This record gives sequence, structure tokens and C-alpha cells, in this order.
Amino acid sequence: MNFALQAAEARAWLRPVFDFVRKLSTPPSVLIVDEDLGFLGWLGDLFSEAGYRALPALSCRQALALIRQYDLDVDVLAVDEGLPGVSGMIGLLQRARRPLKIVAIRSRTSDYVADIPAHATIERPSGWEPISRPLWLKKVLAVLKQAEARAAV
Amino acid sequence: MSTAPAAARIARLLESRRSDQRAHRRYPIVLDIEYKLFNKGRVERSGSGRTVDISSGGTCFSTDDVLPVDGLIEVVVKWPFLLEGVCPLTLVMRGRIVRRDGQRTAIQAKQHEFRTAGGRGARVVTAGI
Repeated sequence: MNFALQAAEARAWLRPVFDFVRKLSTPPSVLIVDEDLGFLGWLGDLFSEAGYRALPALSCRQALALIRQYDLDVDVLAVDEGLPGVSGMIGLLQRARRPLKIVAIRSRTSDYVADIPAHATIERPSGWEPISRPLWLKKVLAVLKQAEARAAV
Repeated sequence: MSTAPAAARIARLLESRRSDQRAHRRYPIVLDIEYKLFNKGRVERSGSGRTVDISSGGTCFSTDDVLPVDGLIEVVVKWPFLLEGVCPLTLVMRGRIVRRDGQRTAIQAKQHEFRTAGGRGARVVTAGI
């Protein structure tokens, strides 16, 4: 048996250990999927401040491409519940990771409520509503806490 | 004469205005940017700055340079996260400068997309508009 083969076997055997150490040393990640670029950036910025790695995507298809391309581990999914392909994406992510915490992004002006297994909901601000960073950071932290608690049940 | 059609028209107008406001709502996000100003297809100038706000319709950023209104511009916004800890993620916006107010420049984006650049080479991961 040559040295390269032995090294490859050792790497494969140690992979779970490496993954575990990597997981401990990296902050949790949130995948944010929304067509509204401004709100996507806003949420990403707030989640980053809350200690999360924020992964942005403008559609479900693109979110899945990003995850496959980089083999990313997603702890929290924040998704606009009205996006096409949202149920399929949740199904795929849940097969890869359980419990996946799901936060539904909802529009106040829309009556549409999707049938997705959301653990918490966050409402997009209306066009005329002033937005305050400290208040929104509190809101994001509360939503994360709620999602964590409900996903654990 | 009934006033119902006129009332319905006004309601529709208000609703479209409301949805337009939502679609282009500006969010105060401060991130580093780099830009390239184009003239006749060539890069005329490049520089850096910081975003003041971002919306689906574009961005407003501050820079020390004076940029011409109506100029074609590409703005690269640095997303504060590295994929796999090494690969930077950027938001690339292309459009036209619509307003300048002191050090602030506003652009209307015709196209925006997230890109990765690093060890694996530049790639578009998500595209918008």
C-alpha cells in the first residue's frame, strides 16, 4: 500500500473529527432567500451582527446552487414564503439537516400565507414605515430565539 | 353618474404606489464598495466608497470622487462573509448614476447579481433583476 493511499484513508477516517472541530470553530449560518435586494441586505447585516454567517440568495434555485457549490451547512433558513420552489427547497434542506430552523419572511400588504413549516415569522416593513436598527436587531434576536425554541420541540 | 369606477381607480393607484414603495424601499446598510465608471465601453475611472443605503432599484453610496450624473457605473459591494472562510462574496450592481448630492451618489441598477471570487475563480452564484 502506498503512502498516498494511506493518507487518503486517514483523511477519510478523520473527516468526522475535522467536521466536528470546524463546526465548533465557525459561527452558525443563516441562508436568507428573498427577491427584495434591500431587505435581503438589511436582514443579512442584522443576522451578521447577531453573530451569524449570512448567506444571501435572490431565489430558491440560486440558494440551492450556492449550497451545492460550496457544500454549505445551513442552521437557519429565512425565506420569503411566496417564492416559487420554496417547499421543495425546504424539503431538500431538511433532508440534509435536522432540525433546520425556518423563519418565514412575510409581506404585511399581502394576504398570501404559504403552507411552509415555519418556526417563526418576520414581517417586511411597509414602504412608509421608519426603520430603526436597534429595534430591528431586537426583532431579529427574538425571531431567532422563537425559531430555536419551536424547532427544538 | 356613479363614483365607484373612479374610487376603484384611486384604490388601484394607491395600491400600486404602495407596492412600488415596498419594492424600492431603501435600507440603511453600510458596506465597503469599489466602483468603475464607464465611458464608451471603457473604464474611465475607478474608486472606492461606502454604501449609504441599498434597495432593489439601486444604491446610494458616499465617495470622495465627483461622479457625473447619467454616467454608466458598476458598483461592487463587499458582502461581509467569506464562503468556506476564504472566498469573498460580492454584490455587483450595474446601472446609471441618477443623482449626486455632495459626496453621495445614487445609482439606478439595471442589473444586480451576487458573485464569488477567489481560489475557484470568479463565478456568478445568484443573479437578479
